[in-house]
Amino acid sequence: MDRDELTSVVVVDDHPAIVAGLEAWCAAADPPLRVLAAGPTPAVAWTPPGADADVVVFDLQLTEQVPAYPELRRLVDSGRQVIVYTMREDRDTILRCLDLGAFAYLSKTEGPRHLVHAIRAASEDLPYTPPSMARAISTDTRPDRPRPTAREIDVLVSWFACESKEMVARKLGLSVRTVSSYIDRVRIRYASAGRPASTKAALVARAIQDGLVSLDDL
Amino acid sequence: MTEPGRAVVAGNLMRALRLTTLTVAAALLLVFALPLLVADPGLYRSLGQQVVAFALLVAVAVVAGVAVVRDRPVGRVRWALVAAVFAASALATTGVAPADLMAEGEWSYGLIGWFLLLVLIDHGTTATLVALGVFTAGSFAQLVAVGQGHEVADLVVVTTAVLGCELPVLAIAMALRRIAGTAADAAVREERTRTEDAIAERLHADRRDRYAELASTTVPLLRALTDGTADLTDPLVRADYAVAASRLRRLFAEHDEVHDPLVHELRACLDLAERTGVVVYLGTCGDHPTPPLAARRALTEPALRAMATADTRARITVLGSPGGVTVSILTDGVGEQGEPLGDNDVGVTVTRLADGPDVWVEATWTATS
Repeated sequence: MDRDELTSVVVVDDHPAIVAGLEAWCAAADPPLRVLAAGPTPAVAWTPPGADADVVVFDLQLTEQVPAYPELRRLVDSGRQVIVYTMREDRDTILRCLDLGAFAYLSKTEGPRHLVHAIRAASEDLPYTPPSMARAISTDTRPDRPRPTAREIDVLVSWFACESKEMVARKLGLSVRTVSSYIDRVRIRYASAGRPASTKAALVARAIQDGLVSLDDL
Repeated sequence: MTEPGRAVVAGNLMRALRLTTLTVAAALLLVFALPLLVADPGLYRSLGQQVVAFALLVAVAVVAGVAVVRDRPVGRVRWALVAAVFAASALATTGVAPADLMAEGEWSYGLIGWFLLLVLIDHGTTATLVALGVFTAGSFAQLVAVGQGHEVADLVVVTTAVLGCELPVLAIAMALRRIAGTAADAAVREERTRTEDAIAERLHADRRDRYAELASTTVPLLRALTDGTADLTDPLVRADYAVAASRLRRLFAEHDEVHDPLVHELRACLDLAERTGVVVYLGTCGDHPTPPLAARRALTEPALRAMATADTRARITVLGSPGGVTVSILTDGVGEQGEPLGDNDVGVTVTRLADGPDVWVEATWTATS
């Protein structure tokens, strides 16, 4: 992506108020984010101008009952950076979306504080772990899950509790940088354990390049 | 004397009664029956039957005697012993010529009743009475059946004498059993009354404590409200009212039967803040054990206080682990009053961290077991 260009976003959400709010946050961000298109179905992400967007913000709950996992999967398979942004915040849904290759998962209560940061991170292949995702990972009990260390779990739980890396750092006697690297390392391990996807490859490659993890860690 | 004491005394008397019965039965067998048997063996139609009958009664005396001496019930062999006694009686009375049935040489009649008492007295009055009745009626029937009807009057005399000794023993046993029974009942009643008293006392103390708490917190606030001395323009005063109102809500919530009391009571603490426009997020992370009530109050108290001064948002999270639970409160309320920090006597530790306008308070309870 050209650095000079603004990061572009396409929004798949059936609720106009959500779209309007998201557009307002993107416009207020510094530098601003550009919302290319918005619509109630995934078609908006497949057709111009939405097809060219860097990041897809995707509501999992497009119909009332069934989470739109197949649509999420198709978007991920075609190499899109997808941020799931939805009402649900239960662990199993979050972990399922991570397995499918979603870049990040945000519950709608986390939008104001985290969505813009998550979009920015997605456009740069940097990991971003909102608190609800941290909670899902810290309480993951599946037998084949990646195993974070006790210290990493402490950091994830505290991050879920206070949403501030500065406070987590002060509470646990770590530097903010260390807190961030703990959270990101766990995220990369989850990406690595997930289904093969180009987004995941980019995330892991960037993490190795930045020295966040080594190949041996994975 | 206490009721259990009476039960013990009744038990001791019953044992003495059984020992007496054993002594009488054994003495009759050896001092009364044996000499008769030995004195005139020629009298009997079948000496063999007499010997077997005697041996049966000796066996019954030994088996029942062991139980009596050990102060145990006769147990499962009881009905076999009763049958043995009746068998002995039948052998002894059919082993003499009908004409000798009322003669002195018929040794068994005076003994059988005592042996029935020995075997049955600890079992119950009714069974003993029935056995004695069956035996007596059988004896009369036998006498008539063998053609000695003219001697019925003699048998009445003998029977009266024998039963006159046996029935008082049975009466004493009945009285002792009743004393022991009422003593046990009274002990149960007394125990129940004591338990009820203890519960009532605990409930009363509980209510008094709760009222004392309200008297020192809520009542002054209500009084200030009614006499107009409360300055409701002062946010700190309003916060006091908010805290008191939330405490009452929590108090009500404590009596609900719910799956997770901690989160339920926490929600009651947050209710009021949500109504005043603070955006409240309540989330749980992981499973947690249920702390006791005092610990739950200490855990929810910081949240309750923080809610009173929260400005625009509050993030309440319940962080569970197998060994305890943490209630974490993040608010942007700068007017937070001094939070009681550190350990308290219910095992809850409170820590506090401020970052600009944000205050992060954590109350942690660790299960001691």
